[in-house]
Amino acid sequence: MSRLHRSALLALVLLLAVSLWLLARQQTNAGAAAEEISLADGGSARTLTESRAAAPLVLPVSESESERSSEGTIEESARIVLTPAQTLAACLAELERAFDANYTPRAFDAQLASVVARHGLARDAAVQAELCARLEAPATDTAGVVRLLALARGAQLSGARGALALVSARQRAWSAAEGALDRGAQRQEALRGLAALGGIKEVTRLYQLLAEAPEADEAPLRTALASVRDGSALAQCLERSLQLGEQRKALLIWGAAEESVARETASGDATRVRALQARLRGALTQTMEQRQRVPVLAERALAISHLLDPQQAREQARRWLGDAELSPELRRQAQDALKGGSDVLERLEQALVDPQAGDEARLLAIEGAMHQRMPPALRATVRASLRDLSQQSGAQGRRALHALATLQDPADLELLRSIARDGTDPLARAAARNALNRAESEWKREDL
Amino acid sequence: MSRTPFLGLICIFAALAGCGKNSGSTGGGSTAVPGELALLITDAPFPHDAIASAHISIDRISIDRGLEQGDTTRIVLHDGAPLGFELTSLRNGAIGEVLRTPVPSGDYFRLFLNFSSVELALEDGRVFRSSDGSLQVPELGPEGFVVPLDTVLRVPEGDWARLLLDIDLTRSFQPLDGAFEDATAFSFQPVIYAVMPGQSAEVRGVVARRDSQGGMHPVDRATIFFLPIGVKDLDQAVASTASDADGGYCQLGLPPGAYRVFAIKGTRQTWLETARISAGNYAAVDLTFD
Repeated sequence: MSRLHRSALLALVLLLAVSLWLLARQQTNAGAAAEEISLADGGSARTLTESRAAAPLVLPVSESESERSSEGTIEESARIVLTPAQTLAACLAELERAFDANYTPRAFDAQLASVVARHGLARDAAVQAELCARLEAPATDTAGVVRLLALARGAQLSGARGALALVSARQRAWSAAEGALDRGAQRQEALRGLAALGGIKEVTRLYQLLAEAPEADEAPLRTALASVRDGSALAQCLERSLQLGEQRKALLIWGAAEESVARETASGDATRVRALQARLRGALTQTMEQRQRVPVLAERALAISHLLDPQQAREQARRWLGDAELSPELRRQAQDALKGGSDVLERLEQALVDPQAGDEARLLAIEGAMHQRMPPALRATVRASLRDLSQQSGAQGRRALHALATLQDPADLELLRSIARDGTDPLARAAARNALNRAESEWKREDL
Repeated sequence: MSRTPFLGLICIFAALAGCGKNSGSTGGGSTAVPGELALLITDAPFPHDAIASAHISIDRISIDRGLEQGDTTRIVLHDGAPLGFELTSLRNGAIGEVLRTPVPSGDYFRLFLNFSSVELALEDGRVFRSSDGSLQVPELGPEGFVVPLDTVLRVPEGDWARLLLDIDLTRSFQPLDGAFEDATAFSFQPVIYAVMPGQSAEVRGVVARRDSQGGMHPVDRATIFFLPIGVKDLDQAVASTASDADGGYCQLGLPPGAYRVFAIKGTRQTWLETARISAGNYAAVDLTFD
C-alpha cells in the first residue's frame, strides 16, 4: 500500500471516529430530553435541572405555569420546553392513571382539573390546536378518544374547529365503546367512555344496561351514570326509572343522578345549574307529588330539588310536613330541606310547645334549626329540651348530646365532659367524647 | 372483597385569620390587608389490622390564584424544615395544627404541596420508604403537587377562611408489584380533594353490638364506609374510617349529600342511610350489629 493510500485510509478512519463521537453525543442529549419528558409526565417540571435557593415569600412565576422565572432567586442550568404534542402526551398519560381500577367521578374530576391546570391547557392555543388535530385523527381506541374528549372538556375547547372535532370524535368514540361493551377486559373503559361522552344516546344506553344488569354487575354502571353531566339525559333516566318495577334499581339510578347534580351545583356555574333545573323539574315534581307511591324516590327527589332550588324544595317540604301520616324518613328529609329557610325557627317553636309532638319530632326540629341564630329565650328552651333528651339511653339521647355540643354553651359542654368521663352508659360516653371533640376543634367552632 | 387495606382519608386544615396589618398589593385585584394562615391536620382513618404507621413530610407549601385568574404569583407559606405528619395518630376528628403564617388577603384557587419523604410501615414488619426507593414518590417539580381547589379559598380582610384537604389514601398508596399482601414496593401518587369547612358534610356516631340480653356494647376497629345511596359495593365508597376503642367514629370533609353508612367488623355488617346532609352540617348515625 502506498503512502498516499495509507494517508487516505487514516483520514477516513479519523473522519469515521469523529462522526461516531458526534452521533453518540447527540443520542446522549436526546436521552436526557426523554428523561425530562418522563419527569414532566409525573408533575409540573419542564426544566431539565433546577437548583433552588431560599425562596422569598412572594415568588413570581411565568404564565406557562411550570417555567420558573429566571429572575429572583431561581438558577437554571438548562431548560427544555415541551412541544404541544409532548404536553398533550404528558396530559394523556396522567389521565390514563386517573382511569385506573379505583376510578370514581370525583377522583377523575380532581385529576382532570389538576392536569389541565398544571399544563395550562385552558390558555394554551398551540396545545388546543394539537388537541383538535388529535380529535380529528382516525382512531378506534375507545379509551384514547375518551381521554382526549375529557381533556377537551377540561380545556374548554371551543371555536368552529373545536366543535367539529368534538362531533366527529364523539361519533368514533361511541362506535368504539359500543364495540367494546362485550369484550370483557374493555367493558369498563367502554362504560366510562359512554359516561364521558354523556349525550342522550350514550346515557340512554347506560340506563338500559343498568336496568337490565344483574346485581353483581351494577357498580361500574352506577359509577358511570353518576359521572353524567347532561341534564336532558339525566331527566330521561329519571323519568324512565319511574316505570321500573324494581324500586331498588330505580333508587340506584336516582342516587347516581343526585351525585351528578351535587357535583354540578358545587361547581358554581349558575348557567349550567339553571339548565339542569329546567331539564329535571318535570321528573322531580312528579316524583315528589307521588310521595305515597314511591317514598324512597320522593325522598331523593326532594334532596335533588333542594340542590337545584332550595326555595322550591322548602315549599314542597312544608306541604309534606302538613301531612300527619308522613313517614319518619320523609319527615327527616323535609326537615333537612327546611334548613336555612326563614320559617325554621317558627316551626321549631311550634314543635317545642306542641303536646302532640313526640321526642323524635322535637329532635328533628331542633336539628333542622341547629345552624340558625336563635333568640336567647328560644335557645334556652332548646337547651333545656336537649338536656332532657340527653338523659335517654338510646340513639335519640346520643343525638341530643351532639346537638348540645353544637350549641357550644359552656354549661352544656361541662355536662358533656362529665358524661364522657363518668357516664354509666358506654355508648353515651363515646357519643359525648365524640361530640366534645368536634365542638372543641378549631375547624368546627368557627362554622357554627 | 377486593378492596385494598388503605381505606379513607386524611385531612389537612388550613385556617386564615386577619391580622389587620397593611402590606403591598399582591395583584389579581386583591386587597392589601394580610391575614394569617394556620395549617392543621386530622383524621387519618385506616383499618388498623394492617397498618402500623404512615408518615409523610412536607417541606414546601404554597398557594396561588391560578391560571384562570391570570395571576400565578406564588405565595410561599412554608419552605424549609420538613413538617411531619403521622397519619395513623390523627383519627376521627382529632386535629393537629401544622403551621400559622401571614398571607395576603384575597382569593386563592390552587395549593401546592411538596412531599419530601413518605414512609409506610405495616403490621407484619414491612416498611416502605421513599428514602430507599421502596416507596416511590413521583418527581413533581420544584413546587410539588398541585391541588386545585373546588371552590375559591377566600381570605377576607381581618377574617377567617379555612381549607380542608382530603388525601385519599385508597388511591394515593398503590402496591407496585401485585397485591397489597405480597407487595415489595409501593408508589405514592397523591389524590387530594380540597374542600371548605362550611361547604362539606360530616357524619359521626357510635358502632355497637347488641348482646343476647339486649345490652349494647361499643365495637372498636370496625371499618365504616360512606357509600352513595343505593350502592352496596364497598369499592364505590366515597370515604371510610374506623371506630375508636369506645366505638365512636367521625368522618369529616364529605361532599354534601345522602349516604349509606355501612359498618363491617369481621363477618358482621350493618348499615343505615342518612337524609341529605347539607353543606356545613352533620348527621349523627349510630350503627348496631345484632
